[in-house]
Amino acid sequence: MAFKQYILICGGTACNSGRADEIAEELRKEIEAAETQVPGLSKDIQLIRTGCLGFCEKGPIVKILPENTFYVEVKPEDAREIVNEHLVKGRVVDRLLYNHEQGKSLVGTVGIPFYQKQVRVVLRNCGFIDPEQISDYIGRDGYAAIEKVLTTMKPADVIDVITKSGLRGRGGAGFPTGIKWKFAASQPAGKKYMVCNADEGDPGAYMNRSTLEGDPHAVLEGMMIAGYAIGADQGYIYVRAEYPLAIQRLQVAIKQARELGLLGTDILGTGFNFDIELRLGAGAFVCGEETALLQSIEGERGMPRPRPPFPAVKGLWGKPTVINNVETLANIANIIRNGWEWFAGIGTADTHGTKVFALTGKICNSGLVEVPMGTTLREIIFDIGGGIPGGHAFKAVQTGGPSGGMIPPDFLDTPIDYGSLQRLGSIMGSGGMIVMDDTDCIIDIAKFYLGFTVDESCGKCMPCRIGGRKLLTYLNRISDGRAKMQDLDNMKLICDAMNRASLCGLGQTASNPVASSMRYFMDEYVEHIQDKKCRAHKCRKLTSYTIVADKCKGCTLCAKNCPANAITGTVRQVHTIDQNKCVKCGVCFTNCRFGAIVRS
Amino acid sequence: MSKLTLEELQRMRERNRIVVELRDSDNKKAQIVVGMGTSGLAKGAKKVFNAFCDLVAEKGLVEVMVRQSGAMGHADLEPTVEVVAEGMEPVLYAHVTEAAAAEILEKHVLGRTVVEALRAQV
Repeated sequence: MAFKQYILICGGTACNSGRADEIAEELRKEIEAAETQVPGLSKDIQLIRTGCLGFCEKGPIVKILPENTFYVEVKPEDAREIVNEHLVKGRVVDRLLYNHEQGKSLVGTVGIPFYQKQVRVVLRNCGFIDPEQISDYIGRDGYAAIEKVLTTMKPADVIDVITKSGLRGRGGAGFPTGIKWKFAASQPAGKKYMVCNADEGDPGAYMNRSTLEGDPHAVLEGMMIAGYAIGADQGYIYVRAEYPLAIQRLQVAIKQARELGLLGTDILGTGFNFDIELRLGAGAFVCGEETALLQSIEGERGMPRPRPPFPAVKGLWGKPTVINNVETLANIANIIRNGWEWFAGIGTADTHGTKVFALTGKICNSGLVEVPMGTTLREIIFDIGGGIPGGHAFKAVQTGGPSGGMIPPDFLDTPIDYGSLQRLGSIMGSGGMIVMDDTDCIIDIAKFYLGFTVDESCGKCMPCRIGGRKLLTYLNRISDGRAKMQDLDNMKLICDAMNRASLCGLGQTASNPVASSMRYFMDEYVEHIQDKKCRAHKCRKLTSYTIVADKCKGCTLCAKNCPANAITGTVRQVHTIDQNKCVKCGVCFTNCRFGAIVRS
Repeated sequence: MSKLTLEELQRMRERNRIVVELRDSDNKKAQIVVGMGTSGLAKGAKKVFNAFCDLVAEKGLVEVMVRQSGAMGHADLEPTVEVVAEGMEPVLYAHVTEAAAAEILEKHVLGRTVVEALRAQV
């Protein structure tokens, strides 16, 4: 007897932190309990932990198939109702539906704006399969691409297809993948390596994590095809240790692939040998830089080295090595199966294909989205993202993480591709997209990014080591109201120097948040320096909170909540804030019900 | 498990394609909805539901979805089954038995001809 219904529970890290594990357990218990009403129910229903469905704002997500009912914000306590109403009686639980209007619709995500403009091809299996069952992957054309490659294509044919597709590295640099493979393939035959960069260090970026957690075999298959193309028989996946679930899913996937002989020697009887091992990172952002990553695998401290020679010529242990990002590799099998023309037909002339973005920050629908290149920033932020919550105004969007730049409202209609973002002073990066509103201070954000890159700088080269620190010092001065207008000129010089003279991409791009914010938000810089004012009230030394005497009712709510005990006053008497003790956290301001606290 | 040959991989793919596509929702061309209200259940709707599910799985009909709904009304006509096939009008069937299920699947869903004798008279 086949299964009659399937419950797919999102098993990504985010939904797990929302108790998805407990939800799964409660559902299992409730189904067992319902056997008294419907004998044999547990044999009819298959519970599947699946990959990230992307709609993280509304998680934990539970999907019921085949009717495709999409339940959002599910709690473990809802399990009983889901089982007794939906599974036993066939009645959809309205209150768990997205906006409750879906009632009669049979296609669950069609009515949801978040999904309308998305084209999920890299993420095609996330939310549909159990990533810990290789048979699920195989059932969705898994390992059909490597089969096609091994039986009908020569290595040069594979490189030709990937080159024609126009695939560019999705890790941030956007280097044409086919050309990188060609460099390595044209090196003399001998030991060669294939490495997957799964370090994903950008704050707020989790595209790679979701792919590794939700569809690890797609990455394995991509690596195998790359290995065949360049002549490598050994692959390494360098994955950051902060991703324990991704590591676990990869370990299970590799084990299952080895068991079936899809990794190892004489794969599918074709004589092709390829195996994959994991190497874990240890918390260094710079190890996402390709040459530092190779150093780390070799057991050295992760520090970049000059290029040339490029890794494709002389990489791991001096051998030709190709390093590709997780998302780049997750595209490979799709391109081989569907053809390079299919891929080239998506996106813009500059950049083909789709891109996965992690949309976070001040946005209604934060989550993981995949769109064709050429989609505009406005479409992503307002149509898919649902705009800015709380009635606030859009101020800027940061793309590309600490290496990227801030893009103001004037450019919301820019179609996204590598070229257009570069011209705006930002970069595509790995896909992090952080939205800011009028309560964010541009200098404060620039400080955050510089603080990060200064901390993570390996220290080997002077422009990054000293330049970054100087920029941060200047930003702190601006934020404290101690800066001079000449400081801005010095900052511009330092940005330029870091950009041109740093040894690796970390240093070369670390100044981008400063350079781009000075380009578009100079008025905010000037305001901080000349007027000593922070319009977003974020810079603590430029903000003060005071109680307006004739509005204060003496309810003591502010004093009770003040973390610094800075507010004094007795019940029903006007309260006062001690400016020396105040830490400018703003809790009193948000709590006061009488509008008696002003900030300036 | 032992190492796969090419043929074994292809067979595994075909087997699992059916497993995965049966539970998928995007590829469906026909829906068979079995009313499973309390009175329907009392009259054996569950057996009818199981019969449809088993037949669809046996024949690997990945484009057919079988699902249950609450009571459809018409308590005197239960077990009731609604068939919604692409390009055809929805049809309500009455007093459906396991044998009738097989006929409806064969003639209406696959053969695209309504089984008039079993249609509900409302």
